[in-house]
Amino acid sequence: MLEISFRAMGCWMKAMVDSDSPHAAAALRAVPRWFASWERRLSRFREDSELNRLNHRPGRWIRVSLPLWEVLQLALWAARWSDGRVIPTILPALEMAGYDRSFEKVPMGRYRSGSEDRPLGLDAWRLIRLNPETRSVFLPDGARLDLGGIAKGWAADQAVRHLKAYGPALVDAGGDIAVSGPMANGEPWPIGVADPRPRGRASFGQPALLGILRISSGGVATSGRDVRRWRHGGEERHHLIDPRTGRPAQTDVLTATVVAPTVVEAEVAAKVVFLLGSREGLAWLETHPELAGLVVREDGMVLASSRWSMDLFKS
Amino acid sequence: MKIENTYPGAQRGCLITAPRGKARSGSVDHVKALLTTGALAAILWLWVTLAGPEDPSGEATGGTPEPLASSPVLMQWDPLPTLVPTPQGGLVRTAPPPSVKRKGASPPPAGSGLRVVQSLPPPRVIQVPVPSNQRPAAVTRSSR
Repeated sequence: MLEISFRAMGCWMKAMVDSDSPHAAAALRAVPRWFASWERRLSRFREDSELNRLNHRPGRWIRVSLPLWEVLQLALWAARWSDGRVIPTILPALEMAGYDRSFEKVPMGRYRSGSEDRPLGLDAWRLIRLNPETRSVFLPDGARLDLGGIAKGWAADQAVRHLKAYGPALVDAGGDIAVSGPMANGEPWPIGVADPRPRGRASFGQPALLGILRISSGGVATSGRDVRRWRHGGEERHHLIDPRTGRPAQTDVLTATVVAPTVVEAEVAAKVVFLLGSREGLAWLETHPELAGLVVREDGMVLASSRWSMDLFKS
Repeated sequence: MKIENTYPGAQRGCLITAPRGKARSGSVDHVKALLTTGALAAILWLWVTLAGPEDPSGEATGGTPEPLASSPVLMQWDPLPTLVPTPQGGLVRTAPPPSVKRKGASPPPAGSGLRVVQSLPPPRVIQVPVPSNQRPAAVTRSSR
């Protein structure tokens, strides 16, 4: 089993291939470069990224690269699938919340409280037009994109798709995890689910775990307010914006973990469950037979959807 | 698979020594020098960790990147000059031992006592045990 760890897209990344061949090792060494290339195109934190060049040129057709094209298509699909809860035109609200730079550079207390109205442009995703023949994008005035978790999930899915030629593969993109199939011994990959509660048990060097998932394909992602959060004016703020208010979501969910056929679906679904709250979020999961989810509430209660099989999850 | 050692100079480096058989009159300064070295190493490690990989060249081919040849080891540690006690009870640095100078590298200022690290190693592929329920392959968690 070979592994490489590196930092990209503001997170720690890990890629694994269940093989000891030199070809697998060479492929793993290329993974950081793949992520660097994608980040240069898709990051809003890089002034010269392709995404920012698109953001600065609304009102005209702009031809884009295939990575940006694919991620944008996924982002628009996510917006429709989530009924407008996970949208790519969320950037004005993120900036208003103080998340206008990579999270580790956001000073505490940055959120600008006050009587700001819901930022303009959040609904503009409905007016974005795509021309597949020329691979061009038309952003309406006021539309400014952040591709955040969608880009990360897409990158993990892409990386695993390329690595599986060298052996069973797993890519962990900052906690969004994609696997290509069972390990070489036929066993599912054991994936820990972090316990976000303050008094979770932990062993030296390892996060506290709620349990171990065993998955053979697809992806798993977790959304939550246990890490990227801060206090301002006596109120807790976090980075998961509710598009309907333009402000950090008010929810009883601390973290939501979802297993899905791809990491992008898991990422979007985890955010939807988080935004909806534990009761409505779990009900939403029940309407999607391809998904299974686990919710940790702020009161410490842990809830699971009916398809979260306890055979797959051992604590 | 053999684990690569990307710090070929690390084991050769002799950071600080004290002459044999003598009382350790400069032991406090000795400890300070060790701590300084450790702090510098930690800062450099953080820089490597946060700087990220080099940018690949060329246009992305639409989500189908080709694996690139791995780059050679680029970093070489140069050992710090040796500290020796003076008759007055302090410590002074001797001239640093000769080291291989990388082509194009500029020499450090005279009397600086430290060599400049020219570049950073790429992330390493390592061999790990097969994951199990006692040692999961990865942990899903909120972004951090």
